[in-house]
Amino acid sequence: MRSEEVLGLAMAVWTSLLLLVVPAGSADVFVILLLIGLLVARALVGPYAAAGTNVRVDAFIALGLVVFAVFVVRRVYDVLTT
Amino acid sequence: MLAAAGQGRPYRGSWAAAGLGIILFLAGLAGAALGPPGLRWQLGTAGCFLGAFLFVVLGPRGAGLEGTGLPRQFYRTLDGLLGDLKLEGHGIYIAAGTQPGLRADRVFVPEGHEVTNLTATLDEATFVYGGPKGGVALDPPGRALLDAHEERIGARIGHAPLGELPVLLQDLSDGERLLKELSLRRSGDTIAARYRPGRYGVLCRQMQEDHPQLSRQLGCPTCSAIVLAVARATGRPVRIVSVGERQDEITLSLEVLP
Repeated sequence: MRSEEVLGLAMAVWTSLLLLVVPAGSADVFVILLLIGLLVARALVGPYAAAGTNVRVDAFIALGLVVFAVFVVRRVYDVLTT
Repeated sequence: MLAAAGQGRPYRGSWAAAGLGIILFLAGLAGAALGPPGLRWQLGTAGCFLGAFLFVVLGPRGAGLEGTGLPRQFYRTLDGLLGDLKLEGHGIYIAAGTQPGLRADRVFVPEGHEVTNLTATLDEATFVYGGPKGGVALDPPGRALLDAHEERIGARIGHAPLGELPVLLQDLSDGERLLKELSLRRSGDTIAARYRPGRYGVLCRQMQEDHPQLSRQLGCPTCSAIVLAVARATGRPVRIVSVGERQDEITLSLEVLP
């Protein structure tokens, strides 16, 4: 099994698990846990994957970090305005 | 992977994964629009993320790089091996048929920086330890790329004039074009090569960062293909003197040996 297939399978399993475990309405928790799973998978599989694959996965991580930043800013704003 | 490159077939990845990715992405959109009220965001995010991920990482373009030389794990292993054997010399590329009894292209990594005599028995992955002939002979990382390229263009690089190599190698690719604007300048026995890496030039830069010693000894797959092409064209052993990067160009300094 290629490293990219392992990566895809791992993310499919992790996403399915999160859908079952994360309570309804907790989209931000869902996204953050998804990002954490992606970071862990990238760290474990990265050395064995082709460089181009790592570049593509890093793009998803970058997008996830942007979304995470939006969540953090929104939460900080909520805290400051209450 | 190498077999695919050797046969001139770019490695295409999985169309099934790409199709599944598209289906999951659409399912995610449908889930976001039609799913249970509390779960819409999660279903939409899960479906769209997984669909996009599979499409990009496992789809045809995502896997296209596997044929580019060898995976990073190979280079980690090789770096460790050459380090453990304390082979510190710069790689010497020798084309098939240019040394007595040599039937395949080889890159010889000597023990030291001074090589007085290339060992004659280089056909297999020879390992000779100790003395001025110590070193290891390997299959060049870029050989499969170069062979596939020759088959694609229907021409042999052996004994081609050096000035024609930039034209002959301009479409060197592995599903994706690997280099642009290759230039070769010869001054005596020194050859200065420069090229702009293609879209995935990150491979060469990453190798220079992760394995600087190995980068000088063997070069990345694209550099290896270029050096081997020079060895085939000149019919003489070619040693890598240095590999570097300057202003988005990869630079190679090569020495043609007697």
